[in-house]
Amino acid sequence: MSSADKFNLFSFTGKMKILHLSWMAFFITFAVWFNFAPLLLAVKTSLGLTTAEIKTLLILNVAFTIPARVLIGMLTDKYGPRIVYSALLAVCSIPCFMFAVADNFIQAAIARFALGFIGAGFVIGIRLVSEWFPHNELGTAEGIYGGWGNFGSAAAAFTLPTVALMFGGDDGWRYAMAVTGAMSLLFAFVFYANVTDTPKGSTYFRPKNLGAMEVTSKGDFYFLLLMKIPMYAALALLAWKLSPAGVSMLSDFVVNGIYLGLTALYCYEVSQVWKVNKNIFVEPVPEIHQYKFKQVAVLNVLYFATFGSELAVISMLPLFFSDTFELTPVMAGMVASAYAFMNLMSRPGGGWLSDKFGRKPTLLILTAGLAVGYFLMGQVDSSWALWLAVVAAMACSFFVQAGEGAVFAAVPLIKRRMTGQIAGMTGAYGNVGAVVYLTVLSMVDYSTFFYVIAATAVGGFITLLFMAEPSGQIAEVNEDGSVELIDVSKA
Amino acid sequence: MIETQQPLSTDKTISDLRMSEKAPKEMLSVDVGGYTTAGVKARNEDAFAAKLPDSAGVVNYKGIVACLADGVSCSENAQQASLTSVTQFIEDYYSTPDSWSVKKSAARVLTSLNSWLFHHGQQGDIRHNGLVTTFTGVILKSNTAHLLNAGDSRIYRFRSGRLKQLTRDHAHKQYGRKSFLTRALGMDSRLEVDYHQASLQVDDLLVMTTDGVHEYLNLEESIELLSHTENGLEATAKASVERALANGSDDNLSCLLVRVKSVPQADVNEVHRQLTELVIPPVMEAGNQIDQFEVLRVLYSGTRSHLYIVKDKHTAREYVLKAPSENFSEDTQYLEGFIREQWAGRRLNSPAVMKIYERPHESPFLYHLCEHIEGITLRQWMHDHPNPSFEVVREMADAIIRGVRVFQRMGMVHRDLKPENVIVTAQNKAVIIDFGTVQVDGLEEIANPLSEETPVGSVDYIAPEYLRGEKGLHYSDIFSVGVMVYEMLTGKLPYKTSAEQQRNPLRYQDWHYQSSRLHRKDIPLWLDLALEKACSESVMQRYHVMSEFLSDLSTPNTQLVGDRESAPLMKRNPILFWQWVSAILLLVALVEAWLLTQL
Repeated sequence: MSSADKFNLFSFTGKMKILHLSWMAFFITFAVWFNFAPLLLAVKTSLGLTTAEIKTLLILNVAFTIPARVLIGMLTDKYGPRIVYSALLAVCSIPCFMFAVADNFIQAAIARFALGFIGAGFVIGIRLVSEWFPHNELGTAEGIYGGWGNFGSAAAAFTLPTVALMFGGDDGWRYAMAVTGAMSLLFAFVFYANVTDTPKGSTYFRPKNLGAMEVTSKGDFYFLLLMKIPMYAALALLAWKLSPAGVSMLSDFVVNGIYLGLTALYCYEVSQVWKVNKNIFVEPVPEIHQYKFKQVAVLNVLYFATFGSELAVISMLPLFFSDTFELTPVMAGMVASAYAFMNLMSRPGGGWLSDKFGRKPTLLILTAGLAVGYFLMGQVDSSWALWLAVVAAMACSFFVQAGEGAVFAAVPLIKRRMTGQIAGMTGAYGNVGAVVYLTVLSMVDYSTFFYVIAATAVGGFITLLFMAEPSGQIAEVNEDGSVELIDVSKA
Repeated sequence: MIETQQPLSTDKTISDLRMSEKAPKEMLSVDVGGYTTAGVKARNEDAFAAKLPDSAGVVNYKGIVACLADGVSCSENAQQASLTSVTQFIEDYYSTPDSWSVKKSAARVLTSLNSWLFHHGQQGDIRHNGLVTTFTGVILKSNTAHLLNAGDSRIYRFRSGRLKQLTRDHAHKQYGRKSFLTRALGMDSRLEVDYHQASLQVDDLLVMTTDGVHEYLNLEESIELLSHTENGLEATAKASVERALANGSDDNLSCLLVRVKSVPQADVNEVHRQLTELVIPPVMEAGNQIDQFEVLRVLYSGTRSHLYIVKDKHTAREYVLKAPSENFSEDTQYLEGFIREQWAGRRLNSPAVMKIYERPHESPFLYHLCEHIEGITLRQWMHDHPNPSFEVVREMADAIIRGVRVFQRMGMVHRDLKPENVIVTAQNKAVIIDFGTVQVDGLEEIANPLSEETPVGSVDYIAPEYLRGEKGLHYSDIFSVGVMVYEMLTGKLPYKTSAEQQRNPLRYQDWHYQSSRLHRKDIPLWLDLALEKACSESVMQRYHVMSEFLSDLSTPNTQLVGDRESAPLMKRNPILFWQWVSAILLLVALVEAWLLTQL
């Protein structure tokens, strides 16, 4: 019987080594994924792009992530986190280099679209961490993984403009981007060499993944089909944006083909959902396996508003600051990184808060704060002092990221057996949110954009009222150290 | 001679674990009634007996027994033989371990009963005094009837107006009127008993008769008689016997009836409720208290379970407390395994297997109290002893097999033997721990609405047959032991498994044994052959007894070596064989091409 390893952040052995390498990998994927936003102005002048084209690139960046998540999830099931994460890091360095050497809008657009793939890395690490950490440490471990990894975008915003300046010249941004790509490529090998999928000797077989989400009542079946639509709608929205009605990147023929393809894909997904769930129309699901799908739907909507807005805002914030306050690119990047900086604290903080005060109250307060925060952001204009604008952004980002943490703290409580699937769907909604918000941004001015987010946050607040507080633990350790049962109705 | 005719009591025996209460609400219950008479003969040499156990646990694990015997008239001790058989069978059957299958239990009891009868019969001066009797028994367990038969007594099943004979007579009809028994208890030192199973339904009537009855009743008469049970089964049995007598029966007559009143209902929700009745304790730290135990330190904390050293405040004794991980709070397969671990552990008593102690009955929490074994895991031992001498490995293999045998004797298959689950003590004794995946023959026979969806063992040590979805056999544990011995010697595994295979068990197609001599040059061929046989992918080619493996580990098995040396190249080295074949074919092709160009 081996002795118990402590959860020691400063250790770099055993499971802690896995955690550190995982968040570093996630950090790099995020840095690569969001290496565009801080360098936007340089790219714009260097390639001679219009503002509409820039905004299109921003949407392209987050669109591919929606289907990629599903694919990555399946690959991870099949080949294990170690190979898939390494491969993702290595393969995605290619579009990164492609973008770095792009000469025109079309090349940049294709590279950006392909780069959306790297955004799907999150799922892999979540799986890996869950194989290594016991139940009681999993929340913290995943919080560190998610929060510190997300910080990659802040790091990119903070450093890349400076790196670009150091290389100098019109092509400085190309070198800066290539640096992130090289990091990704190198870390692929580091990750592969140092990680194992499971602790030695305790590899157990896992139940086969079903390929589609399970529901446990007939009503929920249709509800699930309904909730699947936005994921396809987001991609259709992007196609529309690229059509002659938008930036005319694709011809009508191609766009219609895409619509058709998306419809076919949706039909395929319906058939998968039917295959997995057809039993509920024949016999009732055993009580122990039952759950309410509306709980998942509420979390999806909330993640749409939180993570979706975060992805959208970190993409546009450098542009926003430089436009509004006429800052240099370096300054704009640094100021904008203030938003993502909060990740280090607030995401794990959100999980901690909901442990302490209950899932639903925490989420309600954070969502309300979110709405107020974005409303405030909508008010920011050149008449504001810069520091005040930064404080507003940071306050807003606290609610956004704490909200993300609180959403993911509730995910395992809905149905433990299906945590992976629920987390996957919730995460996908975050990307749907990003596509939607960025599309909105391409059509309206900054303050309207923030008001739209604030409005969806209010919508999220209302749907939240329909959520039932997930039941937590039924036993706990008292202050005096004795283990006792808790009255569940009270909790 | 029916011991009790009461319907099964609903007596609430709280046994040492909840599992006995796991018996679904609706449990097996029967009515029994029988009648026997000497008929026209002077003495009644027939005997029957049935036992309806009081305790729900006993009915659940061992079932309900009814049996009938017809002493063979040519022997003077016929009555003693039949009477002893039925009473002794019941008594001994219920003394066999709960973990044994019905078949194993009944076979053991009948074998010893047969030897006893045979040897006592032999002791008489005259051969005619042998103790010989037919024997027909039925054991009802869960929703199955296990039928045993030797001789010409019969079991019929009367179900919805139709009568079906379930047993086959072991008698040789001569041209004359009399037939001669070809099999019976006490006839020979070796006994063959027919065994088979039949499913049970509510209202099934099992009819057991001796030849004095069934030879003198035709089908219509029997059906008519059996259709009238309104005055109780005993009256029906009596009526049948009297009709046979009236039809001219000249033998002893016995008829024993068993009616199934209810069979266990496999209700999934009920089983799930019982499995989740006990609460998984939260993760604890040193100083925490659960029930009367204080946590002294955390021994292990993993994704599947948590282990603590605890001290009982009442007795000051120290235990290891094993609690499941909250990750499995809805995984019924895991929870069932965890509860079964306690069940099995309470029934295993050997220094080679970790002990599991009785837990406080009133505790609302799910955990085991285990013996604290000082030592290191075999995994650690392997790290500490790279390249151990053969002698040391042999001793270790012997020590591990000692523990595996304990399971085997109890009708259990461990299914998750691996270096992490073997503790090596300071005295170099091996102790097997962690039997959450144990498969128990006796429990397999109990109807269960849960099925195992995932192979339960660990990657690399699991026997191939599990991955093909087959049930575990004792040979499956031998595979795991073989892999461990291979690993002790070489530090490597005999088969390569890829990550993909680990995730898709069914994708295991190629099992290529890698000779241990590739990893360690000093391993002689005979030793490698023994390892290959123990780790054989096919159950048929694997060792079937562990002693054979042990013996082949120390002395060269000349047959194995001989087989290998005389085996065709294709078997010994398939790659080399096909390389040669390809080379020759290439040569032929070249020669043909050359010939064609010459035309």
